[in-house]
Amino acid sequence: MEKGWRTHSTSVVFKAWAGFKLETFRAVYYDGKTAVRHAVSVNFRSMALDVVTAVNAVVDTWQYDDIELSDQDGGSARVVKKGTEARLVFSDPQAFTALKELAPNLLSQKQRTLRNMGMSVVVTVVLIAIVYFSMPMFATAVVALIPFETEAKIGGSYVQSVQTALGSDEAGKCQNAPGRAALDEMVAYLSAYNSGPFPYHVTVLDNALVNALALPGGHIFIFRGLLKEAESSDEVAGVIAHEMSHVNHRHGMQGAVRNFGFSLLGDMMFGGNVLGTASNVFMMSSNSRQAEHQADLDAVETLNRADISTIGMAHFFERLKNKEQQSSSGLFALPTMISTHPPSKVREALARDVKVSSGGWTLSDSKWLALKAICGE
Amino acid sequence: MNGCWSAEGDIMEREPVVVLSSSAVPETRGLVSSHAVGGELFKIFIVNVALTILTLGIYRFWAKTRLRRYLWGSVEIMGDRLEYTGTGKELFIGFLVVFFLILLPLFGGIGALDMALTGEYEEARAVLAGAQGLVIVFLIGVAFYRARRYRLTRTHWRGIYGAQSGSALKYGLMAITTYFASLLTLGLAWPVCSVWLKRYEMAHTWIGDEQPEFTPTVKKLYLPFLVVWVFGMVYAAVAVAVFVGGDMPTSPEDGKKFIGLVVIIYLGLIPLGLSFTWYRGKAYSHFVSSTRFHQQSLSSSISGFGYMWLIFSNGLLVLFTLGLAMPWTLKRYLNFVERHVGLVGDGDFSTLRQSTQEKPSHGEGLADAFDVGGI
Repeated sequence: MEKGWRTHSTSVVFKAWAGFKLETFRAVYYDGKTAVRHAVSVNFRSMALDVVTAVNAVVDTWQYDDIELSDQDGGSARVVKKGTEARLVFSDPQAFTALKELAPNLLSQKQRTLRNMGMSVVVTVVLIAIVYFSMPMFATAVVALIPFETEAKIGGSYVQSVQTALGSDEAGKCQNAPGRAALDEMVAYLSAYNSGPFPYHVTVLDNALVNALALPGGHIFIFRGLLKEAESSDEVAGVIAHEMSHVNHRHGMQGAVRNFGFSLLGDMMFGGNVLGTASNVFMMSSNSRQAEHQADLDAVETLNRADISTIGMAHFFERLKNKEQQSSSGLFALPTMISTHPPSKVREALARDVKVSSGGWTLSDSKWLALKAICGE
Repeated sequence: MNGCWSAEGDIMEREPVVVLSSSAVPETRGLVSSHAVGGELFKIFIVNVALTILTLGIYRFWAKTRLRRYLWGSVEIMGDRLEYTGTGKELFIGFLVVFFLILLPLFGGIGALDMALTGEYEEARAVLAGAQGLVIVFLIGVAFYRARRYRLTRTHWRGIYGAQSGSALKYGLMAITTYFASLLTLGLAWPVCSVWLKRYEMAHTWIGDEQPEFTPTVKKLYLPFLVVWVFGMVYAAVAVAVFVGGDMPTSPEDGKKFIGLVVIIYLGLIPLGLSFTWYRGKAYSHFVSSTRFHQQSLSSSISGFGYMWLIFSNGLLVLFTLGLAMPWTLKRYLNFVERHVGLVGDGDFSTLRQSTQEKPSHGEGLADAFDVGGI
């Protein structure tokens, strides 16, 4: 009843009949129009409640469907007539209990907290799913907008810092002529079976780690440790083909955009707390495992096209797997879920399962030895 | 009445007796009484923290709402409790809107531009970084103003709600201006700036259909501010002398001395911060007692030292309990306001009428992003 004050006699004439009177409680009523407190009686009738003043005038009628909780702290309950600013405050807990029986949309504070808990858990799961599945697509779309020259420039700007951070400052280190010639021959041969938007620049880094990496825009780095570990040129060819795939698919750029997006979302959406960071790491690494898997597939395909044996690559992964098994007995073994690469077991099987090519092309023994010695001994 | 809410009951018995006193000297009475119970606050706090962690932070919108509902409801003004009517959903939608329509395009764009400029246009990148800083200062101003609007429209008293007109964008620009003015005057412009901003806020504040009068004078703020400012300048001069002017230590003994100096300088930040808090207490008190509403004035007995002690001891409590005492600090803050803020007048607000201002449908997205506005 939004029409303001009525006397008892008019309300009898115009007001819809609210049913039988069930119970009466005292309450404080605010009409939502003025800052006046009204001490009232509230008649709970079978179909609606009536707000009745001291002079027995019905000043407001609330349908039970419209009644919602505002707050219930400090012993009294404040209820709202939905869509209005009118309020009723009951300090008698029995009044609230009785009203709860009648008003279907009236939650207690406990119920409301439970509902909010449920809602926020659902929202969290949905948001994570959306972010997890849309971010790679988003990153791919963003990278597609970046011109190749820009990517080459960005990648190029990191070459020096990779050299300094992971290799050595010494000019000409890991660049001796016979080794370089052997490497160039291998890269040229692989390039012929690999079509991508970027020319490849392969460099050996003076670093004992068994590793290799590709920057956006075609710069590939093989670590000295990897050359030392490799038992045949086919193994190195597999690694280079793998990195070439990263370059072709612009995985580096996509990863950068993705991780930027994840960390931005993680900070903003999840407020940057510890578990938010953990979920970020999970999302980032799981996406990069997909990229690694694709690079493995591409590498096998390239080797097949180029008529290079994939047995070398399989051997290489097999040895990686053995190392992984050794280290996984340790305390700090990374579970594969948060490792950035697929498990080596899977990778070895991949390289083995494809039809093993006879291996028509390989680096000559002398050139292979020259390549292994590219950093000088 | 079963006595749970005795103030309510007492007044109900008295109603509708309204005696307008005609004496010449207006009466000073307490404005606020706080009914917050530490244990209840703590329960809410613990549940909030647990759920926020469980949902990787998403529950924070509902957590804030829960805490505010309790806090607002524990504040009694002239016999009636405040009521908070915001919802977690509104905050969450506010966050989504701000995140996807403002922050993601803005900072994504800046990030992309920065990436494109890398390598060749380093000067342009520096300009971009500066521009980003300005945008952030601007957005923080906007965030504060918008959050204030949201809270005012979600605060009800006797069914009447507050509101805030004015423009958040204008306020953001004002915030940038004060930032530069303070920078250029080595901080001296700060009191003028704070009064300028506060005046804008108060001139656009509504409670129901009425606005407060707000008449602070900058003059009153300058004496206390200068004390802090001189202290700050001396501190800055010493710090510069040690870090820039001083020779780098060469011998181990010099090194020990140097480290000692550095430690002293860092420890010096504590009294510096305390003195600034002391000034803030003074300013707070002045702002409160410069406010009139509905033909009645606010009075304040807040002292600089009292406020400083409140903030300092609250900080220590949080620090030494690793945050667990947070609910208690809120209660202490409310008690402080209860003790020190009074109303000069008859306390009759019954002719106040409902607001005609629009309520925003969602809120505080920006404030959430920049962590402005406390609880």
